[in-house]
Amino acid sequence: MTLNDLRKRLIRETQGQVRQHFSEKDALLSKTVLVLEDLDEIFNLQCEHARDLYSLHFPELARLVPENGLYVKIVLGLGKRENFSVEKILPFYSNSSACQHISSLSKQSMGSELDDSALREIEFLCQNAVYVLQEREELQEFVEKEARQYMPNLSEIASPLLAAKLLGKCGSLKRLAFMPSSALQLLGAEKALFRHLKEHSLPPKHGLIFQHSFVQQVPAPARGEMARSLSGKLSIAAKQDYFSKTLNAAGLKKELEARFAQLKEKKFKPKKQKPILRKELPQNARRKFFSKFRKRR
Amino acid sequence: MLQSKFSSVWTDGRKVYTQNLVPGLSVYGEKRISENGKEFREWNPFRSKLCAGICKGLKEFPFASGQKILYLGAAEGTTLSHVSDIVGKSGVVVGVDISPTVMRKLLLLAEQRENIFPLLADANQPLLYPSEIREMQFDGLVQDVSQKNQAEIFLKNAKLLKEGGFGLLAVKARSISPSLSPQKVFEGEVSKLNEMFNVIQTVPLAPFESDHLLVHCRRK
Repeated sequence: MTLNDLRKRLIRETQGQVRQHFSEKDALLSKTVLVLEDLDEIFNLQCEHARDLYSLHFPELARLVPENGLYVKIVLGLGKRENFSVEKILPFYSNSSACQHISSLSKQSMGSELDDSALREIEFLCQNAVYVLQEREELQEFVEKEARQYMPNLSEIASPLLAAKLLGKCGSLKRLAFMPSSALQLLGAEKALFRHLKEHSLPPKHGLIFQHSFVQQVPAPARGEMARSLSGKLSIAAKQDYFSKTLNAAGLKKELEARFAQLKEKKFKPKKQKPILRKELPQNARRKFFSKFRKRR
Repeated sequence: MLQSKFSSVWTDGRKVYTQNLVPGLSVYGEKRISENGKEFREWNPFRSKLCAGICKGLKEFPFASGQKILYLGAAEGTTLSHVSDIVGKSGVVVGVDISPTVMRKLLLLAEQRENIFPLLADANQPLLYPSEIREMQFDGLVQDVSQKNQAEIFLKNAKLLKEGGFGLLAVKARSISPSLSPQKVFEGEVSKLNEMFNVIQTVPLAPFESDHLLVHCRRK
């Protein structure tokens, strides 16, 4: 085979390998999760601007409608203050007394008048925000559907969204499956982890796993144990997902739920913080205390 | 104007250039200049460790046109493109990288330059390279991977290098040990090479790269 033929063959093979790598769902899921997080930020930024601008005209509304999505939809739908009659607000706000309140405030607002052209710009901004919200909702559905398909067991134990986030942190399902459960437990807590390793601060107990409902619902002193149990089960689920695509997590979930129930009921002694005074320490205890600040050579 | 510093590398006293294998095209947005009917591409020592080595006083430049080079850690082909310029149409540069993301760019580069052979592979396992590559008897081995076992990877791949072939290894101290002093790390890595190589020169690359050492050696 001539060198030129070899080159052509290598290019073809490498292209095939690259294509194969990107047809796995890893890259798609990881990247869409990042998009999801950015969409949240974009939406919040747009709503801030919308509130700022529209509050020149009707400042009271900002406090009355704390929810961003609802706020921009109302501004988009109703426009100027004069349009804020109870019947018009009702489709957005089911609470009729709140609608009365908004309507009455709109008649006595301390805001200034709004040009038609200015209103148009504000409506444009609100429309964009609504589109971003819609995109975010649809993208979340997409991520959840893909995650359930690609990682059925992980999606069952953690939510599909959390599973996708873990995958995103890890890079690939293969890595996630081969990772020790202690590493999985701390995915997302890298800053705290390296601070612990280098500066000997207290170790983190959980990373992304913190978002799981079980970890959230156990009493605070039990969170570390819950995170550990959860990551153990997730580790097994990841292996199930990588090596077989069948949904097998029922037994795992049961064990996890039992553990959760156990930890929820656990009683903890209240924590007492005693300040450590240098003078009180015996000699070797003092050395031990300061050894963690001594740099390793 | 442009004077040849080493074979196939030119300088105008301030900047370093290689002669463009594919006139009219830039690879990564670098400047091109024409002189005497030839086109030259500017080589940036802040982006390429080989160029940094040249700027920092590399005495011997082992490359020549027509050579077969194995380049580990090819990435998107920034430095590799200059090696491709240097070995010319009759040369061969096999670019190895483990990441499919950067391999996409390298594949596009290979479409443009007929002396680039892209290989998506783990440099830690040269036994898994295609057999034609393993039997190629390379004239030169260039490595720029930021891995903990850099020296080990270099030695494993050195078996594909012909006797008397040259090696250019960029050692990144922080990849090997983030806490030990770079001096100690460099001494350790260079001593590992001694079993298979004679070290000709070591060039620290500061200020272009901090805590990096370029090692020029020859296979025993």
